[in-house]
Amino acid sequence: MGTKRAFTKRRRFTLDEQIYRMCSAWPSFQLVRKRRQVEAILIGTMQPTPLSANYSVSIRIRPEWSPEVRVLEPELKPREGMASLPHMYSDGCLCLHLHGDWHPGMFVAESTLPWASLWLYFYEVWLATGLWLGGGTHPDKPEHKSE
Amino acid sequence: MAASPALFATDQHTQMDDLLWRICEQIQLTSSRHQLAVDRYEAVCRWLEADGSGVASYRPSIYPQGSMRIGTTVRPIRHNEYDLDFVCEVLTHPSSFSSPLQLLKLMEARLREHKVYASILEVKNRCVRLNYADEFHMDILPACPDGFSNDGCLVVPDRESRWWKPSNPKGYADWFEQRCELAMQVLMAERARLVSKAEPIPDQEAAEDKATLKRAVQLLKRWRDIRYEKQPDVAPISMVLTTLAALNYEGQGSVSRAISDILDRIVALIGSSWPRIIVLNPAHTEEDLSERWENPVQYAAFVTGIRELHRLWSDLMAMSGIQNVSKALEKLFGEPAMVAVAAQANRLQKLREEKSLRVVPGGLISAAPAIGLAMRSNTFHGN
Repeated sequence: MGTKRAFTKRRRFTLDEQIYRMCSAWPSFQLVRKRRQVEAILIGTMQPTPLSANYSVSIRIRPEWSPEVRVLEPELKPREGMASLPHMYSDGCLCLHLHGDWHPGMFVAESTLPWASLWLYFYEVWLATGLWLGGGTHPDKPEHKSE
Repeated sequence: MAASPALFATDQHTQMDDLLWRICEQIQLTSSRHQLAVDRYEAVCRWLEADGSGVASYRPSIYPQGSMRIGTTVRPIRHNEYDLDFVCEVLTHPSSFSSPLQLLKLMEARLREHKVYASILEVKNRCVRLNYADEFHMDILPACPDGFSNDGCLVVPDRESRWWKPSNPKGYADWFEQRCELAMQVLMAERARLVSKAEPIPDQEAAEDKATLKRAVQLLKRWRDIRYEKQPDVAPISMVLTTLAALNYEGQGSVSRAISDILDRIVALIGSSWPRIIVLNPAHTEEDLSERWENPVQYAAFVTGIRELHRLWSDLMAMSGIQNVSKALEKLFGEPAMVAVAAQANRLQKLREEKSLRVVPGGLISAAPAIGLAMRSNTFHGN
């Protein structure tokens, strides 16, 4: 193994490193499922701003894949008269980042979960105002700013 | 006007206060309109003083009174025109006029000599009104010193009673400003306590603390406009709400805490006052500002309304979910609530773009440096 490759290849965190970082940075999160070095699911609570609700959230971590965040409680609902939520995949996971924003050399505790907190704040503001003010892109509307 | 308090501390009152300040910013006279009003009353004053004016020999001076003077203006809900009140004080003893109405008529006659003023002039019970379309109307109340005291007490002509009525707009404004100053006294006492214990002193804008009572008064007046929109005849008058709020203010820096405590105390006062609360004019204690409450129907409407507000405010203070907070604020203050929520979110988004956000354990988003984790860049994606 040449030193050159070690510099060019990004350091990837192992599942255990991700879990360890999660538990130290987000004390409310607990490991509820783990399959060898393949997959871990943690559940905990987060509150984006002092006036926001407290959400129960699960995060699924797989070393080679983008982490998946789902909100367990309270149930996320679209605004009255709207069919769906902005920035959410059809399977109920939150759309938190573009492909290039995250890589396996990032701690989910320091990237994905903070983004989930931002997402939840902008979700509440969207419920209140009908406007998605957190910016973002949309597969159909690249310059999408609001819903 | 001072900026709103710092965003996104870990205290829900700070975030609520930011929303309340943003509501006030929307309902109060903007600084450009404020300047326009100043320019206009100064122009009126020059016209009254000019050579050839029938009023000039009485040496008139014009100054703002009421909400314009104490900084608690509130835009009416059905139209865009603010009511701004001014006093035109003449340096003449009231006895030099054959009747109180002579002063009112003199001022009216002089204003009618001006082409523009003549076209927008309207005569009211105690004042002459100038209607500036779509902006504000200026009510100019003629007044003389009462001839007995040097403490700002005036008499104003009253068309209905054809006699003089006592008034003291400068004295009232001075009293109100003193109540606002309580915030500074509380703040200084708190700082002295922290210094004596060698604890760090939080950064606070003195100017903002001084305005807390003003914001509380604006919000109470706005609530009144909405709550009594369908029964304007029984709506509590601004002067009573302002005085009650100022009397029960104890120097809180937080506007949401100030309103909570003011409402607690007013509701307690209702319980201990029989048959009714009496609100005296602090600058003229013979005057019962709440004389309308002699009518039990009027007083009952106030009691019902303020108890309801007390309950809604307690619920609001315990509420979670921005969407719920927004809905509750909208019920109390109307559409500026939603605009305030959006403005707060835009502020957070701007801090995010500037990479100034951090996240503390538990997920709270913060703009305070050196706590928690730095927020990394991301772009929300997907359908």
